[in-house]
Amino acid sequence: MLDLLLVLQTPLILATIALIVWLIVTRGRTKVAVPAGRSTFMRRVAFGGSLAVLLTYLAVKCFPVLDLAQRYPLPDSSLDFSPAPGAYLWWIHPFPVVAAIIVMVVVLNRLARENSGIEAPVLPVRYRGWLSFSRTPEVVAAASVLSLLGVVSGLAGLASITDENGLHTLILLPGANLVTDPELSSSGVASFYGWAYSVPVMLGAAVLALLVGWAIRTSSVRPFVRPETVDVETRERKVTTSALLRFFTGTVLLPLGSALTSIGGSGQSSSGFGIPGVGEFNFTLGYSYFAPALSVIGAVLQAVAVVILVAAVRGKRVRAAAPELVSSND
Amino acid sequence: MTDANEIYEQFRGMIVSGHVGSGERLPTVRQVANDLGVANGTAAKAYKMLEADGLVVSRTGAGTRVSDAAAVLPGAIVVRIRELVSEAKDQNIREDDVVTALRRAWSG
Repeated sequence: MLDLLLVLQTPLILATIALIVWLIVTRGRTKVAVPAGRSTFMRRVAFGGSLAVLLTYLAVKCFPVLDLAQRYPLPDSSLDFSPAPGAYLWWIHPFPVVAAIIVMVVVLNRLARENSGIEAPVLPVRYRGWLSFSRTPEVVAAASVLSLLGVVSGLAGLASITDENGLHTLILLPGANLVTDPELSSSGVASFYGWAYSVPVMLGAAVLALLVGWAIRTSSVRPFVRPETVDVETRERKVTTSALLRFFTGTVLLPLGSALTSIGGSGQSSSGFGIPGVGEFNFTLGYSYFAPALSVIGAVLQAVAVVILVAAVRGKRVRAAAPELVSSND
Repeated sequence: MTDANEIYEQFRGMIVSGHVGSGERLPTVRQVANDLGVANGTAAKAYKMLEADGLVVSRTGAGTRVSDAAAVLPGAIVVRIRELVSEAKDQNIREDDVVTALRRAWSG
């Protein structure tokens, strides 16, 4: 039972559960006014997609609970959810991103089938690209998170070494030499966010970035319905672009945070040996002095991601500010 | 609006009336055609007419931009004005109030 309590006391999990309960209780009370119209679907996506990513993230985080949940009430069950110690779980970091990719594929499928809906042609005054309806801080935030994820994943990958299966999931602790001291293969290494973990994350984030960019561009460049709705549609597209960018930022922050937490945890490992009559010698990784800070930063980033995604879910219920668009194509 | 001449006249009107500023990038030929529901060739023909009149300048990679000589105001100012109007509309501020505030700011 103590294990169960330890898992449930994880602050991040508790905070996430509390946020989701709060969200369910208070949903629909938002006073944010955005026009209803053709982009209603996109806002539904921001709601449903964010919820899907949150639930996937929670499922990954609560994975150990599954084992405990079946072990305590059903001690004789043959089910075994607990991974072997040191087992390679490729999905542990990128799963929320994979969920987001599935959501975006649904979005693009819908956009591809949508007709232009022109009622009266509107002469375009300005060039419209994928950045035309975006706010600079949101674009900068999304690009920064993606870049940081790439840098962290790349550096961690370069520092990693292979395990007995040839997967880059380990880091060599100073003082251990696997060539001359093969017996150190278990004590001289620590599990690490190496290429085996970072490559799926980077690939997933890159694919998600392409899909979100594509969806934003598609929303931006489509023709306006009629001249009277240009202002309303412009506001609508800004809301849509903002929702998609926040969805992307929140989603990518999750693996970035969990990667930093993992790297921070590995950095607190040490190896050592003793010489009789001389003393004990302990070796730590070069970044061990700031490894705890990395773990904390990782947890904070995940919490920020959860807040962003929960805020997106809360923004679902919006009141119609443009009744003239409600009847148009959605 | 299906004729290249009509498209040309509309753009010409917007440029000489200060609706778009100098150096501002106009939509791509494809975007104009898509928004108006006309063939790309029709939109391209209108752009060629604008270019022949010296109202726009086309450069490879930089798109089609309003020429300095044709526009009433610099593009940067027109863009700021547009942002101001958009912000005011978003906040349901009356046009008269914004114009009055602009005049006051102008007079120092």
